[in-house]
Amino acid sequence: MSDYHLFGWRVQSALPLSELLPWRGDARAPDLVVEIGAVPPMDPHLPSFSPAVQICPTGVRVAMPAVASYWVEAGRRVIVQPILPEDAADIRVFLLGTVLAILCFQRGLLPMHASAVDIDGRVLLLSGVSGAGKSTLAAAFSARGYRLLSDDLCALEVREGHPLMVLPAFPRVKLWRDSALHLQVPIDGLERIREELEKYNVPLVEARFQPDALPPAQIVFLRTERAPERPPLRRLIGVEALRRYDLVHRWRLGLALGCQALIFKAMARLADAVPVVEVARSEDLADLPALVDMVRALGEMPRG
Amino acid sequence: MSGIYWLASYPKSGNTWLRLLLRSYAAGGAAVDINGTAPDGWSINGRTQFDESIGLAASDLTDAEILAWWPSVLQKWAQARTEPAYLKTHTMCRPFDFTLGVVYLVRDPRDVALSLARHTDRSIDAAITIMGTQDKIMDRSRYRLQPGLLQSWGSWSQNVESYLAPAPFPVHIVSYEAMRADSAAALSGLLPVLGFQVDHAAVKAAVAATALETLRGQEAAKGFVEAVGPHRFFGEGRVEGWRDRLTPAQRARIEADHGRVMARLGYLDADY
Repeated sequence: MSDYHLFGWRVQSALPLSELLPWRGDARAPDLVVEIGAVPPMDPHLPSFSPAVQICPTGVRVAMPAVASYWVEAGRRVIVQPILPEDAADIRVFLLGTVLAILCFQRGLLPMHASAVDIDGRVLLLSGVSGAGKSTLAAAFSARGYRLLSDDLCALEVREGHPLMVLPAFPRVKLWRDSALHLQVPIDGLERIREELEKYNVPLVEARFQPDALPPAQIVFLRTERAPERPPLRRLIGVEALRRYDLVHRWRLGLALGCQALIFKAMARLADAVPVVEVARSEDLADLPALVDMVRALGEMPRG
Repeated sequence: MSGIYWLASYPKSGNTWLRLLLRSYAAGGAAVDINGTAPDGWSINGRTQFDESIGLAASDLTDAEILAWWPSVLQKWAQARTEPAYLKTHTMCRPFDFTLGVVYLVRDPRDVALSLARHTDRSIDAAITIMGTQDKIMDRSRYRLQPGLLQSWGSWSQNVESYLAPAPFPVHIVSYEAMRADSAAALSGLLPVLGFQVDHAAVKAAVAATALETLRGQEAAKGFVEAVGPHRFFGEGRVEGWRDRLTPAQRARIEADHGRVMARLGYLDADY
């Protein structure tokens, strides 16, 4: 059993979670317990959300054939039934992805499909469809000396009467080989997220990780275009910003879990509190430095 | 009734032209904009659709996992609709129970090789290799993330034979050459499989509205969203262009790779 830090929770885990920071907080009881054990079998009488996910009255089952099964209960307990060896990175990809998003929903937090960068004590959220370049751009910010709070999935705390807060995840970026090479991140000796994919777990050094929760400042939706039109930047106003449910990590799953109210309330508060822009980028990694400059300059734009 | 009608073909066999013809026909033979997007923006190889439907990111999955779960994504999507959908595909035929019918377009592989080389900005020999590769999967993401999901084309012969095999739904095979020779007759022949009545005036108008010169003119003026390489998407569309553009060795390679299926389709004499 080891204790780890994730989104401010104390996580006690029987499965080694090498991506997470050790718990350095108080002596509280664990907020989340990760056990290794038998996951309840599929319930043939219940409909499945998908071939991988079944939502049951007492918990959610996530099944990755040939990797592991997961049982996610009440935001406080996860049972992992490994098929691969317990230390396989493949098991943690889904635990720290979809399973973590389900935990957030169960705990009333909004899981966001975004990488989070600390810019002067407030958070730049980099979102966009899969393949738009969130992780690559976050890693480029990191290479410039900025601290990240998360890569790909971060949690938003939405409490009545309190400001919105982005919670820090763990010091790791997932990079495909071509992005890593372009950013001159050495990949020798790095762990692959899946045995078969050249996508790597790139750890962030302590100085490049922000372990404290910070308020959001700006949301950027990235999208790739072969030849981005000028100007490549478009501000999303009102309903247009509100309806960008793709900001939510697996929003359809969130709806299936009964979190409509959380999603709508969080989106409304975000759209109200934070400017939202869409930025078109080229697929050419050589354009990254200019993209960092452009996105960085957003923070200096007049608000309102 | 919900379900999917497939407009299927190996790439560079006239599929885009067929879709534009159908779009024009469905609008009574109206002019079409080649860059007019699909009505609901749904893309069968879109990552977002897959990720949201399955609840996991395809970018964390292996090729085999994506291919295994892709049908359930389609099924969920098709079932949520009240109207049938018309989707283009280059993947090999699979016996989905939500398939309502298929039009499969086939083209002489010697001409496909020329067009595929141009489209993918590769040499003709490289295109011939792609076409001859068993179980060929395009757009797989092993080293980098591709914008779309992988597609299992198979070899040219595998692709064709998957649609020639008996299926639990109607499959109408039409050749690109027949489409070029008499577009109106070819379109009239395939419409019933897709659930359309045949209106001869609209057929005639749709054929006129989607003449290759018109499509090329639009691409020259405004570009085409589906073009990927440095070359124009709509080429000469020639039938038997290979006769003066393939070397004897290239032609021999294609015929060696695909002779049996070519003969089956009449592209080679049975005793080639």
